Amino acid sequence: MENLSAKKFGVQFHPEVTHTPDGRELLKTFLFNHAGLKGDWTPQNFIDDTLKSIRETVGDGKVLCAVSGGVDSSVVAALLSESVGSQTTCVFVDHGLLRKGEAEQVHETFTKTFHPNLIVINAHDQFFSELKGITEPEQKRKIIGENFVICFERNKAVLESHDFLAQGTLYPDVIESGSATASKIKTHHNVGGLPDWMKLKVIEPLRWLFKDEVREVGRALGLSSEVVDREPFPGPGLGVRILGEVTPERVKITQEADWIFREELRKSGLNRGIWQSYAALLDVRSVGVMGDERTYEQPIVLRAVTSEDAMTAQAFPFAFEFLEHVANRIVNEVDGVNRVLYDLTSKPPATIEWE
Amino acid sequence: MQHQLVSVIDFGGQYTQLIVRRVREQGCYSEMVPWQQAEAHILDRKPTAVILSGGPRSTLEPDAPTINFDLLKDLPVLGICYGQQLMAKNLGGEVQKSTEREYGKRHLGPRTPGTLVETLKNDLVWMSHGDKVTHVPPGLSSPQALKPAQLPPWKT
Repeated sequence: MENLSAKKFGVQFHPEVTHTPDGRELLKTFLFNHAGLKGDWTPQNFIDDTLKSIRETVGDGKVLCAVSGGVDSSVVAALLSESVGSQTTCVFVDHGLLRKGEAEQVHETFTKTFHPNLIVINAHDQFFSELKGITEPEQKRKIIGENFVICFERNKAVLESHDFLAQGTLYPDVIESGSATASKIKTHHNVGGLPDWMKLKVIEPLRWLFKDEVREVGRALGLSSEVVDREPFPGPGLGVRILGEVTPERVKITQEADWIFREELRKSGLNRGIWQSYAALLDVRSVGVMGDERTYEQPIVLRAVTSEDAMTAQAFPFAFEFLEHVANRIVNEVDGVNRVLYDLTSKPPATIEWE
Repeated sequence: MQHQLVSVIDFGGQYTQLIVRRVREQGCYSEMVPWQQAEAHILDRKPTAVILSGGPRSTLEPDAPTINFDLLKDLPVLGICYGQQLMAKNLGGEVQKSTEREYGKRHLGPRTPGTLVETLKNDLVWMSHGDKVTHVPPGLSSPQALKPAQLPPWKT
C-alpha cells in the first residue's frame, strides 16, 4: 500500500532478504526517488567525522590501543594515529603463536604507514613456558588469555599513565549487547579481562560499523590489503591449530606448512573465494618412508572453507591436483611432516577450527 | 555527524539488522532503534526517512509494540511486514488475523505502474507473517495483487 504524495509506503514481504531477488531495487527506489536520500555515507565521510570526534573526546589525554594484527584493531590504531597519534600508544603482545610473517606485518604497518608509539612485548618465552606440557584445548585457551593480562601487568609503569582504552567493538556487538543508544563513552570495568588497575575510559570508534564497512574504511586509510583482507584469526592463535602440546618446534612446523598452503592459494587466486584457510598440526604420529629411510612423523591437516557469516561453512572443493601439489611441497619442505590430509567436513557438524 | 540518517525502528524482527545493512550498502547511513526509544530518537536525531521493521508480535494484541505516528507525519516512511500492519492500523485501515500463515516465496503478480512495488522486475518475494491488512487506510492505495492462483484473498 502507498501514498506517493505523503511518502508513506508499506509492503508485506521482506525486501531486505536475498530471497526477494529485487528487494534492493525497491529499497533504492524508496530511498532515492521518494525519501530524498543523497547517498552521502562514504568511508571518507566516516573517517572525517571520526577523526574529529576522537580529537574532541580525547583532548590532550593519552590513549592506549592493543593491536593484534587483525582488521578491527588495525583500523582503530590507524584512526588514532591520524587524529591523536602523538598521544597514542599501541601495544602489541607477540606471543609467538601468530602465522608466519604476521608479527613483522604488524611492525611494518605501525612503523612505516602509521606512526603511533608502538610497544612490542615479546612474550614468546613466557607463553611457551606456561604452555609446556598442556594438551587440553580449554586449558590452553585459558592460559593464553591469562598470559595476555600478565603481559600488561609487567608493563604497568608505562601503561598506567593512560586515560583511554581504544577498542575495536563493531555495530553487531553493540546491537547484541542492547547498548546502541547508551552513551558513547563509558567507564571501563575490566573489559576483555584487562587488569583492574587499568581504570580507563573506553573509546570505540568502530561501534557504528559493520565488518565490511571496517574493511572499506581501512582501505581508505591506506592499510595494505594483507591487513584489510585478513582472514578471521582466533585470539589464541596457532595455540588452537596445534593439537596437543604447543612447543616452539611444533609452532615452526605449523607456520611453515601454513605458509606454503597460503602461498599456493594466493598464486592460484583461489584465496579470493575462501572464507578461512589454514594448516593444523595433529598430535599423532604415523609411519612413512622417505628415501630409503623409515620416518615416524606428524601429519598436517589442511582446512579451507567457504562461508557467508561463519555460522555455517562448507569445505572448499579443490581440484585434486592442487591438493596433491600442496601436499608434495609440505612433505618435501617442512621437516617433521610425513603426511598431509584435507578436512572435508562442513560446519555443522564440525567447526571451522579444530580446537 | 554531517550525513543524512535513515532510522530503522526495530519491533523485534529477525531481519532488522539486515535492513540497516542494505540501506548502508546504498551509501545511506542507517541506525537501528528499539521501538521503545523511537520517539526520543526521532525528536533528537531528526532522520531523513524512517523504516518500520517486521516483528514477531501481532498488532491485534492489546499491548502490541507501537510508536507515535504523529511524529512520522511529515517523514517518508516504509513499513515492512509488521511495520506495514502498524501503519495500516494507525492511519485508519484494518488488520485481521489471517486464516492461514503465509511463509516463504510468493509472486506479487500485476501491480499498478509507477508504484514502489512495481520497481521489482522480478516479482518473487519472501513472506513471513500471520496477520494481513484487510482495509487500506484512507488516502493510501493498494498497487499490488498477489497471484490469486497461489494465494487466498488479497493480502497487501
